[in-house]
Amino acid sequence: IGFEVDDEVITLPTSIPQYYVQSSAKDLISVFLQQYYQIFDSNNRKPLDAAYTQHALFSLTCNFPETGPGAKYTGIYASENRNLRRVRCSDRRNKLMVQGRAAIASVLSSLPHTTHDAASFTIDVSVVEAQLMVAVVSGVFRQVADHSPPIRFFSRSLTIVPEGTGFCIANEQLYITSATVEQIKRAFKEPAIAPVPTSPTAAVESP
Amino acid sequence: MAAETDRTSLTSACTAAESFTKLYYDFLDKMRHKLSKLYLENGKLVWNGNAVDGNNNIQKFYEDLPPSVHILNCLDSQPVREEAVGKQSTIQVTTAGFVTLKDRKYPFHQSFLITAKEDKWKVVSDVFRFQST
Repeated sequence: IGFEVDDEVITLPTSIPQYYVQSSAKDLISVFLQQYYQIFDSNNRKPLDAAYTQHALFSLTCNFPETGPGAKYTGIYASENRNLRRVRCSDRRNKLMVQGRAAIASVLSSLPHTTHDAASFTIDVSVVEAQLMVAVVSGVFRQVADHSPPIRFFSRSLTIVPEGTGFCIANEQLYITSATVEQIKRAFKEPAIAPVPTSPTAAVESP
Repeated sequence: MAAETDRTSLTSACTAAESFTKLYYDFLDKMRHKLSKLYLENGKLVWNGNAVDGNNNIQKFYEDLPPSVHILNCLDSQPVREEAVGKQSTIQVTTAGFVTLKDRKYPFHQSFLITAKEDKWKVVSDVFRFQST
């Protein structure tokens, strides 16, 4: 004699690539990101300082295999890695917190040149209030200079505030890791969305 | 203009994130019936793009998911800047790792906005994604 057990196949809720708590945030965030990545993927990331508030915070965490092809060209990320599970010393933790728009632009400039695959992006905007928006963006990119560029995965968690006529990032956490086999297969297969023909800093300008 | 973030805020954001994630993933993996206590009453979960509103609905949503085991590889935390939240103590916490749901293992990343309410940290926003969606 057995028991009546629930043996149903588990089905998880279907993933939806984008979520906006308010539809009005959609255009704003899309334009902000398009302009941000246009500069991020260019040869000069310095103008990105205008995308951050004066005393914005930025920190990076990363997780890569220690050997094999996925471990190549990861040193530059590893040196900025503020993973609290590894970095226990409070002085070191504080040192790895990048403060201020100039310092952030300089760290971003020190990271390898990249090309992001806009078709891979997921966007979640979970909070939209007068003074603050919370957005999480993820997707894949490759490093331009490498001969056989490994595909990487990133996720950026952003707190965005209104400033002057535009919007600025007040808090940013960037996470970088290797892409999954599935992501590598799909990466850079779909054409990217055509860039918006505006000046590259219109949405990120400071007062 | 708001000042730079001081050492004390940076350190307490780290301590809070360490305690919070320990509790959160313990509840999620072993005591889902307690999860609603960690969220604001009008807290929000966005799970792979699916939005769930309110702490009771969030708990119910998680209770309907298969049993999970989360393994964290990465954790980071920042005090949210004054220009966004004024004097209200708020932290932004990110995690990444692997979650096994029933018998499949997925790499995931998660991002929380957590605010102090009557001396307790409560989740305002919880954004969860599998790495490959």
